[in-house]
Amino acid sequence: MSAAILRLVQFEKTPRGRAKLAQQKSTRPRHTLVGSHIADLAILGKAIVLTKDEARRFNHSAHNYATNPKLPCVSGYSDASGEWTSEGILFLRKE
Amino acid sequence: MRYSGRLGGGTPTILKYQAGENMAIAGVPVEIAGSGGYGLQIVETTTAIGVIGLTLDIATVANSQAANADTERSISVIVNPDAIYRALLSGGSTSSTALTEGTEDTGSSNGLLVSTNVDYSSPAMDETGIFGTSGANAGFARKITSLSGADAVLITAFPMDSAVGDKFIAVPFSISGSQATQINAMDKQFVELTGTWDQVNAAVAVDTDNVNFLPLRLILPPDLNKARTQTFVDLINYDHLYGAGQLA
Repeated sequence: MSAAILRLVQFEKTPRGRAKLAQQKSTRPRHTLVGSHIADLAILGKAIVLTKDEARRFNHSAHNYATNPKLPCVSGYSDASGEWTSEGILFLRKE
Repeated sequence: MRYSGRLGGGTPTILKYQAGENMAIAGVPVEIAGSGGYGLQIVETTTAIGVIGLTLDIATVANSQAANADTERSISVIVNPDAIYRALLSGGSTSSTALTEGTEDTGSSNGLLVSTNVDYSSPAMDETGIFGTSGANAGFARKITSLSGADAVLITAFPMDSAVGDKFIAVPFSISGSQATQINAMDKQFVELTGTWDQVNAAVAVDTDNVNFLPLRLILPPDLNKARTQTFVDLINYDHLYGAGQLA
């Protein structure tokens, strides 16, 4: 799995973030990665869907991804957490 | 082609699937592979059975094992059965070919006949649509209800008389309306895709194929001088796996 996606799911930099994550884990089952066999962003392909929260934490420009203004909101399963979202953000890899 | 909305409104739903063949460009419709196949396959130019949706990805398939890597290649697909796909109209089987434009050679004093240098009997354009691109009827569309030799006959007249030199473009599906409002398709007539499956081939006879995409609306450019290269059609898939089901 790519470092970018791994960080997105499991890494919280601040104590506040870690506390929030711990609280979430205590109230709902931890999500396993859907499609965890997918090795990295390159194999994930050109398009990935993230939840709003995940999208905020995804350094998309560093990985050469950008949002599509024509598709500002999509539904689907997050490629990071596997959560269903009807307010997902679509990122497309810049060619 | 690209996603341009949903009949029912709401957001597009995107799911990931295995690519069953190389997909050099994004924005092509894909269908299930069927028995013995795997992954999703690009539809054919003349048929599309069990369509899943429209791709957002490209893929190069590699099925052999590789060290520390999964060889399955996934693609993202917009899967809504009521999705509207917008495709450029091409004047041939090669994408981005300019549309054939006819130039009026006799003129019409009642707006019921279009007689240009184009033979509307080959490919057969009876029961299709035609719109003006220059002259008094520019931006107006009508259904061709019959042919008189090589000429197009209408039941509903164009609003103005046609003059020699006026220009018209025929498309292989029926339409009516005006550019100022909407030019919508009216009949159950399937279209044919171009060789790279990303555009609609407008240089074919009406409804001779069964690609299972129905025209919904014609979109003309603001500048009709560019209609030959910038006219789009919105399509609805007629045989979606999660909608009407697999017909055959």
